[in-house]
Amino acid sequence: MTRAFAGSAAGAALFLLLSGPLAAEVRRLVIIKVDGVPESVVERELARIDPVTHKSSLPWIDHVFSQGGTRLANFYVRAISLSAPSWSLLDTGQHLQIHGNAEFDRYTNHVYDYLNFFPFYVGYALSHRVDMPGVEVLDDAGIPLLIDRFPYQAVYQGFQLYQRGVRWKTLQHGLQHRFSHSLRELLDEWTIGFEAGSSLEEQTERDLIEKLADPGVRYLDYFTGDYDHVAHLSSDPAAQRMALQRIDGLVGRIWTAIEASPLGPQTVLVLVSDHGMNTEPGVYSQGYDLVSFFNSSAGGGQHVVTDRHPMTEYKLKGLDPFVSEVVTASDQSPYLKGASSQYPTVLLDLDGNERASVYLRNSNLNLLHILLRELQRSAMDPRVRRAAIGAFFQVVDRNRDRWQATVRDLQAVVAELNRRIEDQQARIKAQPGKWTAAERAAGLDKAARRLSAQLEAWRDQERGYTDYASALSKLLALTPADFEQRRLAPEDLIPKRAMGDANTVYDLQNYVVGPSTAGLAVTPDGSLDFARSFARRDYFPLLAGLSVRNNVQSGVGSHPVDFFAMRIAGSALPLAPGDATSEDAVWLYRNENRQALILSRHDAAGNLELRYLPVRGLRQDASGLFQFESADLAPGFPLELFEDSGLDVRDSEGAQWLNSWHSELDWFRAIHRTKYSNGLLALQEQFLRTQPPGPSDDSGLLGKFSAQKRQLAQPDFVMFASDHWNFNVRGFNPGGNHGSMLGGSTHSVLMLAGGSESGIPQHRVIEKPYDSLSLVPTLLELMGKDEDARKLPGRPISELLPGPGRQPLTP
Amino acid sequence: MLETALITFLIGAAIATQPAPTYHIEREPVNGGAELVTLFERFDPPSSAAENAEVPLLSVLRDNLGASDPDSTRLRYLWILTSTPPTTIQRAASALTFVWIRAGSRRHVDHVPQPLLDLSSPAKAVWTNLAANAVQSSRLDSLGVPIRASTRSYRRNSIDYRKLQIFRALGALDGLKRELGGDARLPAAELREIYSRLSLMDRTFGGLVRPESLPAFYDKEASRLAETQGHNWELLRQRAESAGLYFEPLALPGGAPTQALLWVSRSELEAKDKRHFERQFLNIADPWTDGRLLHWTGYSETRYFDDYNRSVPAGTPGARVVELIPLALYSLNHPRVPLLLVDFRSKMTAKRRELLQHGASTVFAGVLGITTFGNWSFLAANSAWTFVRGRHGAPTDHSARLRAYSEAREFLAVDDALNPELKAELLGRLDQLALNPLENGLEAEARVAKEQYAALMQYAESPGGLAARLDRDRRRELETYTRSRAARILASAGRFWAGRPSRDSQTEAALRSELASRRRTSAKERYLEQLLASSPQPEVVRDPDEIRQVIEALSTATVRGSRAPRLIADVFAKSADAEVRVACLRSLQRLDIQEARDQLRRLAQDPQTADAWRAIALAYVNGDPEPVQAGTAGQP
Repeated sequence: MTRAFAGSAAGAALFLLLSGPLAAEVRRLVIIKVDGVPESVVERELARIDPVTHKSSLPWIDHVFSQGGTRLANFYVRAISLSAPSWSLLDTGQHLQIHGNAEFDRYTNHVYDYLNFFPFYVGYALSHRVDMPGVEVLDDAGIPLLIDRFPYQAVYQGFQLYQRGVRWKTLQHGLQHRFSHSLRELLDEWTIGFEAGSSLEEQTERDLIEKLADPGVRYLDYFTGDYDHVAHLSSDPAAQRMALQRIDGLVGRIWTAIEASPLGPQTVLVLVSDHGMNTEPGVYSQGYDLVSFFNSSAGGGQHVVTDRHPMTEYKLKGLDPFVSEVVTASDQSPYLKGASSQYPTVLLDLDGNERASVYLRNSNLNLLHILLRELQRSAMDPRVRRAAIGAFFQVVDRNRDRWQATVRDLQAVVAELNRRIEDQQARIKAQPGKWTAAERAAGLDKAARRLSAQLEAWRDQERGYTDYASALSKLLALTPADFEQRRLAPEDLIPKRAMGDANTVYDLQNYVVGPSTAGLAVTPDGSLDFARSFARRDYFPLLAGLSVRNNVQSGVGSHPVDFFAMRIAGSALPLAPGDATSEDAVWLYRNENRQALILSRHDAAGNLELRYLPVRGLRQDASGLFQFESADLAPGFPLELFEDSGLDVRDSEGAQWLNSWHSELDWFRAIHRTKYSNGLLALQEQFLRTQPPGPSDDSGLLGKFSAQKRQLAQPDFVMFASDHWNFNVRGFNPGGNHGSMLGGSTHSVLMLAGGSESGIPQHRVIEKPYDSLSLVPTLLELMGKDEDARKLPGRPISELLPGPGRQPLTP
Repeated sequence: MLETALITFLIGAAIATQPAPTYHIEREPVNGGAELVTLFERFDPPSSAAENAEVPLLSVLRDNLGASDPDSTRLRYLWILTSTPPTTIQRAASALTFVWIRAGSRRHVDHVPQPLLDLSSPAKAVWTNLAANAVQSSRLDSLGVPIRASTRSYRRNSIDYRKLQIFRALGALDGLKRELGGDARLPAAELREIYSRLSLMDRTFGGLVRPESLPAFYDKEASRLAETQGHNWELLRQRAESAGLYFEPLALPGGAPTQALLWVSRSELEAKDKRHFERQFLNIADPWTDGRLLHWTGYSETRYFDDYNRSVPAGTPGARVVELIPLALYSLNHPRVPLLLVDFRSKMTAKRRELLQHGASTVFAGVLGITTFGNWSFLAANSAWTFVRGRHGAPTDHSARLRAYSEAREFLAVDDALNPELKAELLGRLDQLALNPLENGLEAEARVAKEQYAALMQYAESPGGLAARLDRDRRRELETYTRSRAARILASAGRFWAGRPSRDSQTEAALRSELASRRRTSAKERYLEQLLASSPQPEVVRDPDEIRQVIEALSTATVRGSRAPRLIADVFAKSADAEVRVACLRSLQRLDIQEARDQLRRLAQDPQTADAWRAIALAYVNGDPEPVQAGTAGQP
């Protein structure tokens, strides 16, 4: 018995030793990027035995990764579960810079449309662009992509969101190949239906496999959005299985080619998804139309901007592939009827659909706009007029310091931009007109084109910020006498196509949507009665209270909105001494009695600590002071941590543990299996991470400006949809959606397999939780770029790495 | 004891409360080694006079050569038993250009039905249709308005009638798949083949689609249908929500909703609240301004809702009582938009749409003689008009509308959850959409289907009936294996001029045996082809033992000219499994044909093959009976 046990132990030790990477060498990375593939669905299909083949439904993924590689059972998206933010984390290994699939600049309404390929392709063909918009933003922030860490010639990059350059030959060869089939094959395809997208994907795969034969190529990737597309449309397991089986076949072909390639033994193949998908067989995800809500009188009669046409598929205009900004005018607008193109008042990023990023025009700008309109009336009671003028300046004076600082900053930035523009023009002029084949192969032509693209962007920014600063300056320069001397039109004073500064909690709880039905009212002391003069909305309870009459699915509730999240100043919060922090906080609102604060602080060593504080009735007054009541932990608070059986702390410690400060790693270990998975950390990443310093070679001003631009792209608040609800208005996504913190949406796929010398363990499942920030440092360490890896914030996946620090693995 | 009794009781109660399946399969043997597979549905008519009954919907002749081996089985003829030849009155009415009503129903049928499709030769239907179109365009259209209009009208009605029957059969096959996941009496692969071939009959060149493309087509159709249902469900729910209406999806047990009803609350109508109503997609009049609804005396239902707006049973504490008036029935299977099928306030809303589209095509093609065939300007204008209307959500596809209508009838025929009164009203209103004089009523179809099934069974039992036809088909099939296409055409021509020989020289038993062998070989070759196409390494996606068995089976039954040697050599090249590789080499050696020897020699000389394996291959080339001992193949 003892001998048998000893034998088993020795065998196990030997097995662990042999399966571990003792002398690993990785010289090449091949990454298959699969958009939106949830870990649970892959697990389901891996476990399913096909009745015909008697093998797993995903035989190649099973063979390559389950049997021959390592899978991470708990890999999560670090921030919001959307493609643009999620891929930015996976492609850089740096903290979040891009917070949505589309973002809007509050001062210029410039749209950062990260998902639209068409303007990029056309811009590239016309030599105006060279990188996808997301890459431009990251370049602006001085953050390199993983591919930037390899020489240009050593990289083969597929078509994807964070793409540099376009390979037209792939498109050309794809089409040629498509029509090189036999007549019978073409007839079959014509009858069954062509799939143009697959030509490009097939050709990209052929190119990638061809490149594997070149030992000089050290980084290759392939992106597919096939599963994401299918799962948005249908929750049917068979349809989703087919999409996964296409990926499975791809894994097989690439793996076979890797094995036959010269660097096969030193190659690592990675399968990674950016986020999951909240999809459940037999359940339709239900949409709620926020555009119509904000257009409606109840929603404030607002003109709404989205990045795509609502109901795109039913409009001829919806065929326009270049569209990035669509205004849906409200016919209920109380004071901006007919002015929707100049004065949109809500910007919505709805992509991904389980969340909406909401940018509302600054409530003070609305108030000034309304007052100016009222003051234009000739038959106005002089007493009311005096009160309105007084109120106007009261609002301007309340904002004067901030606006003056904004004008100053913008003017300095614009001056610096002008100087840079001149320098850039000179640099562009100095570039050669023609490029040799060797220069092209080294990517010098693209680098030169990048200068032109940057110049164009600076010019746009210079124009946009100049306009906004001018409008603010005019407002600030006004005096009461101006109202007596001339009729002042809002169009001359209120910045057009601008949201202005972000709203405070007070603004959003008292949001001005129009004049009151009774018109402007005056108090006995002759001043304007702000309370009675304006129609206002308290958006949080209003939106949280939305419900529908048709509740026809048993697993889906009647309230579309789960909770809101908003960044607030922690220093202004009246916190108990043990909770006090000078850092900003995230306020989570489910209803008046179920709210929470995510507080953050850094210890002396600079380590982040977080605290979840349940509260109720949080309000902010006009002077900026907050008040709220502390609440005892109970079921129903945002993120539902208290009642979640997946919370991994000792039973006796549950409430006590939740009522304390913990490191982010402790939080991650404790909460990742809960309903909202790592939501608390994701919200911290989404709202509280400090902005990057900008490119290191900058003088400082543009670096600061780069960070400011990122700040200006932040919404007022983000609202999250309830389980199996979504906010899609472009079309319908009954199959499933993502964007929330729900486990189905955040739980992603990460699997690795390697050649015989790569050191990637075989037949291993890592149970320890990791997130998106861990991928790049792990890959860099695997390739021996330890120095680069150490500069990144993520924890490398130690179980995959060679050396003594390697953790024991879970078989 | 008590516990056992209780469990038995509970199980019994559970079985008793399980709804009987709506669809089932029956198999009847046919003389000559085949069987007739018939799909039955449980017909649940709303009229109290009619009894629930099992109605045979379609039959397929499954030629299994008297054995149970699926590899030697072929599907041959398919009959849709609800489809009948028209009566004289129906024929006459369907040739009249502007007669767009039913011309009675066929009462009885006393002869053997014609098969709708030959599954072993689906291309025939393509050429027949193309020939008919050519005759119409080149000959009949030039004979003046009366001939052109009447022939076009007759053909259109015939085609539409056939489509209606096909769509109903497809709906039933969907139901069978949903309820039973395929019935063991009809293997899943055969169900998919029947479904795909029937579905492809709606496409001009559908019959030409190769058998290897059928699985892709089937999967695509299934995904498209699931996407369409979800899309329309959600579109209609959202529209109902914004219009203040009640949305009720309708589904058969175990399936996704395929139809939906919209209702309005009587009390909300009476409150006269001003509500926003958009007609787009709903295609019904604004209920909030419709005085007729205020005095509605037609069908209505009382429902109960809880605080979360969930429908709850009567008597639930705190439930809100709402009297609902039905407004419309929609199909959720129609592409892009839910299709309005029944408007409870107007008999003409849906019918008007059909009449307008039918009328326009009749006037243009039948009366004026303007068709898209060869008339480029009309083609361009028609395409642009259709595209723009379709883009805005108009249902422009005639076939898709027919299918939605047919599936709704099928739904109502088998549903037993709707209130009978509502169901009767829905069926009555749906019947008003029938514009085709060839169409029969649901109950007439059920009666005729039973009669045709009886006639078919009699034909199957008769020695000179189905068995004789089957024998002819098998001999023709054998020729496809043994003779070239040109030789077969010449032989056919010879038979045409010299008359059919009274008896073929080969006995029936020998014919069956040879056909079985040919079919099995062909099936195994197909298996290897699919295997090679599906994976760069065969044993990853299929069991290596299974692959070896197929390869070894091929080595005993392959004849000259076969693809087997090439396929086996390809498996060898792709496989990393030593046992599979040895099986490949052994089989190539055993195959006593030149192609196999050539492949073996090629493998022995191929620089891509590892040295050790080249040596083994060479040993096989040199006739070594067993260069690798069984069980040692892992170490070549």
